[in-house]
Amino acid sequence: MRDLVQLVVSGGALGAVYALVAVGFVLIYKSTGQLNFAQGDVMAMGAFLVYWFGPGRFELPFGLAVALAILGAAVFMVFIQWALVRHLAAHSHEAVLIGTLGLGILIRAVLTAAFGTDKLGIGDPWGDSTLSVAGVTITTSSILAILVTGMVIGAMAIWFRRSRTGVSITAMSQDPVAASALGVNTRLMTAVVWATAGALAVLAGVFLAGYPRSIDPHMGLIALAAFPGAVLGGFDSLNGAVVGAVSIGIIQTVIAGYEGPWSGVVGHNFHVIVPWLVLVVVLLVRPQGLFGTKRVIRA
Amino acid sequence: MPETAAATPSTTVEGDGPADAASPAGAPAVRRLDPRESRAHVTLLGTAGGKVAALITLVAALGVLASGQERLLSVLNFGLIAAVAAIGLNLAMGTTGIMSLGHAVFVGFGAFTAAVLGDHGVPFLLAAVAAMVVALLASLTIGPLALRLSGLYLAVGTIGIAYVGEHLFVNLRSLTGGGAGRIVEAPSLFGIEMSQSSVLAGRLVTSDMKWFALLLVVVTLVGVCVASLLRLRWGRALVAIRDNENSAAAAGIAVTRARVTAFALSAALGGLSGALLAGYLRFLNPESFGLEQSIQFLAMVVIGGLGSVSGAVVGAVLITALPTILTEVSLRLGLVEAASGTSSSFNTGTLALVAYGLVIVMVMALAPRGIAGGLGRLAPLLRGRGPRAPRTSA
Amino acid sequence: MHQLRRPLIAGLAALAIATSACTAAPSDSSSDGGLATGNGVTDDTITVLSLTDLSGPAASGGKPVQAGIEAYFDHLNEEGGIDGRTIELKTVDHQYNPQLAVQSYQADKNDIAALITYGTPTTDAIRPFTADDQVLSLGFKGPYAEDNTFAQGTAFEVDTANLLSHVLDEDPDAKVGVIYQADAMGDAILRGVEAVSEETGLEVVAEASADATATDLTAQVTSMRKAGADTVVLGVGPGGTIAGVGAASALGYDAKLLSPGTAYNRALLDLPVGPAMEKNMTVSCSYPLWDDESPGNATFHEALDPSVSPQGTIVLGWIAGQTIAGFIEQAIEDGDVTPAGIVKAAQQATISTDGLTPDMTYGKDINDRTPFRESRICGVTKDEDDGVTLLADWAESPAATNVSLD
Repeated sequence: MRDLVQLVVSGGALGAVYALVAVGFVLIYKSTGQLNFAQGDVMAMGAFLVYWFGPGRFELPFGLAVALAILGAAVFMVFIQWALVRHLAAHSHEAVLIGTLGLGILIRAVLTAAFGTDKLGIGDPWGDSTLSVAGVTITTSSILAILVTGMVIGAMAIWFRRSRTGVSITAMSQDPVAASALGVNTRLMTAVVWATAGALAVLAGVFLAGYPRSIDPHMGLIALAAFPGAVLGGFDSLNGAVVGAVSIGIIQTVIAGYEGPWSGVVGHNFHVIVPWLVLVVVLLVRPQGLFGTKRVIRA
Repeated sequence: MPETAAATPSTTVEGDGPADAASPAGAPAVRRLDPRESRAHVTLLGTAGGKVAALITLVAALGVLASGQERLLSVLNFGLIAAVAAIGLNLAMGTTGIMSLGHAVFVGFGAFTAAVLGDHGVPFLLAAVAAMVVALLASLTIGPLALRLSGLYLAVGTIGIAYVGEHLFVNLRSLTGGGAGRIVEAPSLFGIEMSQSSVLAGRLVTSDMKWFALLLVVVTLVGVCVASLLRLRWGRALVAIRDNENSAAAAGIAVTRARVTAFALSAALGGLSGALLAGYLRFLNPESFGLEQSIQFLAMVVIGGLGSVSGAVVGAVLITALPTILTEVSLRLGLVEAASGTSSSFNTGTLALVAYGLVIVMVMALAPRGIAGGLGRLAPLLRGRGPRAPRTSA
Repeated sequence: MHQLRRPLIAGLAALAIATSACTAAPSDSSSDGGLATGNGVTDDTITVLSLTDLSGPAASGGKPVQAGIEAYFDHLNEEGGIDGRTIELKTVDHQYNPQLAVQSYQADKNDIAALITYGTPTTDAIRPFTADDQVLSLGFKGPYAEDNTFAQGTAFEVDTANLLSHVLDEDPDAKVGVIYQADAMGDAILRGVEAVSEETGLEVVAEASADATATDLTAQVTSMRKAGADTVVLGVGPGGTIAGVGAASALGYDAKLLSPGTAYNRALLDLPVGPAMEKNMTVSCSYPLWDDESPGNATFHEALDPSVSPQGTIVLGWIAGQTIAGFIEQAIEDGDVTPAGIVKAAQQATISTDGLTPDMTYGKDINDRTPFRESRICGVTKDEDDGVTLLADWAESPAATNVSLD
């Protein structure tokens, strides 16, 4: 029982990270129709920015380092959209796919060149502290991941519904032409969307680097599992992205805890491919996922 | 929305997409072709420019072979092996628009099949054919289901193929050696020991030279076959699907079946590439057949020029040679310190990684139609005419 | 087509003539007053190739080792080289990519006398080629079936056997679980554990495999705990070691954690997992400690560039340099310093490292191409420059004596 609780909690923390990445990705896709396959690597970049502003170079307090990293990532994302993705999207789907994949590779390579391959600590104040709740040990880092992500997503949901910017973005995602005709500044909104996705990526990076993990240039690859989460939830639903991503995180981690005896049947480290098997099943059985709208996804 | 990505035939060797757009929407049900018609227009070296390019390539290749320069031969050999896979991926992607991020899995199926058969003394030629068959069959297990999806969903789905494939390779330890990988027996082709040096007419012929000759033949054959295929009715149907699925379906093309066939053929070519890799490198590990390698094949195809067979070859050789080229250039220019035990984290090695990503981004940003596309736009300018109007399908 | 035919034929004819003139020929061996020399050896130089990972996934191990190799050859050249010839070290960074390793080897193989190789898949990949060419390949893992491959430093099987035996000596009732990396290193560590089982009747309570690139070992550690293990062998690389120790402490799991091989290094203590490592880890440290007193260590420290930060693994490169130099010296003594001659010399060589390690004796059989079967055992502490404190000096357990390396 203790094991199950621990697995669910750390799965929830991982799912929270996936959710932040998935929401960023779906937000961009839904609002602008553009794709950013480099979202995971932007997360890695965000984590390294926090490190750089913190223990790496400037040794600023953690909160300040995170704030500056969010600023940096937001600016970066707006730039990327304006300078690169916009042109790629005008050309073809393949161009966006390859272009953003290439961007991800570039980010990874620059991080390796700048920071080397050693494992580094992000400098968060909660470090390796753990809590003991009813005899079960849980890391502070995973509790915070779940709580903070929940608050951020909740705040975003309210923002979408109540604020003018949020409503404009929703309108834009439903019908860009109509929204523009009604006075929505689509270019500004696009920038806001990309910047928001960047901020979410930084948060994801901070929590993914939490104990017992560390930051390394390849951490973006871990976030790939956010895609099945988004598909499970329904690619054009933000709520779906959250539900799907968290589910994937928990399912993956719980299976990981119990798969040992089954490794003869399903292979070692089966949990690594579980998200992708879920993806295949969803795409074949119900491509619109749990909450997505039924569109023409099949030929 | 996108125009056909075929480069104009005047500058490329093997020819690429169809010269004329096919299957116009609104045409009556597809009629059977007259046999003469299906052979028509398969003149690959049709233009003077094409012939010159072919001749130059041939002379250059023979020169390289003769020089026996080990490093050059080795790099080119790996490039040509990758080219076979790239031509395959181009078949699926450049024509039918299947964005596959799992291509390396089929290369892996081919490679391990060839390795296992080699263990049992099966001759290399037979092992290579078997490798193609296994890869093709593997694609048929997932193809018909997955290929009903389109665009983004298919792309994300193929990531799943990459992960499941790698999982399979790591866990089938007795065949693949698991994470540690495995050695491959030295292959022999028609009695020639491909991994040894021999003496021919008093001259030393190294293993790399033998492989180079073989790979030139293989790549040429494969390229010619695929290019011819694309010029036939079937090939033109594939391009029609890519341009506009609905119109193609309305024109009577069995879309899913055509895509499955294209996917299967592309997997078979991947398998061939894998068999060649197994025989040449003689060491395989599952890590080399995962997502990272698949992305690399994608980069080769796109940088070379989507839809262009010769572009795929150029892209493959270029990407393969990139680390070597970069290291040589940056060392000569003294730009970056050589990687050593005491160098900083910015050295020739990491520079190669950065350049790889940068090349992909830059080519996509500036020349999304790749090298072949770029040459296509260049040719009419060179001939003194204005830039051609972009070709569109009917 | 007609107008091209004649120039085409002429061109091909010219090419055929040119081809016959300039096909490459191999360099032959020559004799130099009784000493047979071959590739990589001239009157003034001997060229050694170092194939290593300096910017890829294993760079955190490869770079310090390379620094040690460079330091040794610089030092050797200052002292006059070998037999009046300076050693030229050619370094190639393969970034842990087997294809690049093979390409580089093929490119350089005619110019070198011997090679040092770092990185498991890359060392594996060049095996068939170096064996065919009979070029000596000195690695940090292995040795392999091919009789031109040698290992320097304690083999993983041996380290594991010695480490586990040491722990069982102190606690015979320990319940042992093993987390092993899914590659050759993991296989070797399992062999070491099996050797201990055969020797002592130990029954392992749980085994779990981990990806070489895994950053989260919660699943594996959980299964260890579920099986009741109080001692866990972490048969993984540096990343896995961090993940494993971290997972255990995050779960509140107080097992003893054993790390064979060279996964642990001082830098890991600066991470948040540092305190947990100090508390629970016992490592094998089968290399000279930073503060060891020996003539070899004194020379090493003098020769090392002061800007290089202390790391336990640098000296492994130094020793590799010593080993290769020793093989070459033996080959010269035997009168044959062709690449094949160096291989033969190595198959009967004894290398002394001036007290850095026990003397290394080599033979022809695979079980003899590892230098010795002793290990050292250390605890982990922040207070030392290289992060370890000696618990048990060079010793060989019965399991280590018997474990087979293939």
